[in-house]
Amino acid sequence: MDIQLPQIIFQVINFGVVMGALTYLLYKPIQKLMDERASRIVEGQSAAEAALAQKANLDESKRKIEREAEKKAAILIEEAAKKATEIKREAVEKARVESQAETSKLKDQWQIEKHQLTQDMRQEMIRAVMTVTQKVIGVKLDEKTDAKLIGDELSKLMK
Amino acid sequence: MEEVIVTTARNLTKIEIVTVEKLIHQRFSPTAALKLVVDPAVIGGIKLRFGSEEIDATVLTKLATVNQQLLKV
Repeated sequence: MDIQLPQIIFQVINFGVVMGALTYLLYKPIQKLMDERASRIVEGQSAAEAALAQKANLDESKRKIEREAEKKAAILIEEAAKKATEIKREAVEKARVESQAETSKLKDQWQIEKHQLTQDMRQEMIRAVMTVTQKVIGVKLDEKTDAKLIGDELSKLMK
Repeated sequence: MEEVIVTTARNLTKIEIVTVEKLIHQRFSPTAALKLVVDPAVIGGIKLRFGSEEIDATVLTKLATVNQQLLKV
């Protein structure tokens, strides 16, 4: 086997030309595509991480809002319970006061009516007694008694 | 002429009239005349009226006074 130098040189040059052409026409575009793909993957990962972080933030915010809402709800419930208790107490107190006032009013009214009735009965009795007395005196005041009565009055007036 | 109205439940006797006249002349006027009025409604006693002055000693007035006093109680 003999070595032909021109053939070897030709082969080397041919190989170089093919290498250059392949490098320029195939390797670089593929490399570029690969870089772009890697870049897109990185971007996608970053976006996914950002989305996850955002989701975590949103979840945290949601939990925070829920906790605050629960706290506010608890406060509102407590305030409502206090207010209800206060309203109930006030209503009971008002009812008690009104009841006492009504009882007192009825008692006073009853006392007034009782007093009035007693007075009426007393005056009626006095009138009856006076009427009877006048009748009895009118019938039984004889001349002698009347004369004595007049005499006594005149004696008093003469003094 | 001055007049004293004397009201009683019955007619006065002469002695009573004299006594009344004496009282009137002594108390009201020596020249006053008597006008005797009989009113059984006064029940008993005597009432003298001389002008605006009145002395009421009738049983009716006494009863009325007692009645008023009792009603005030």
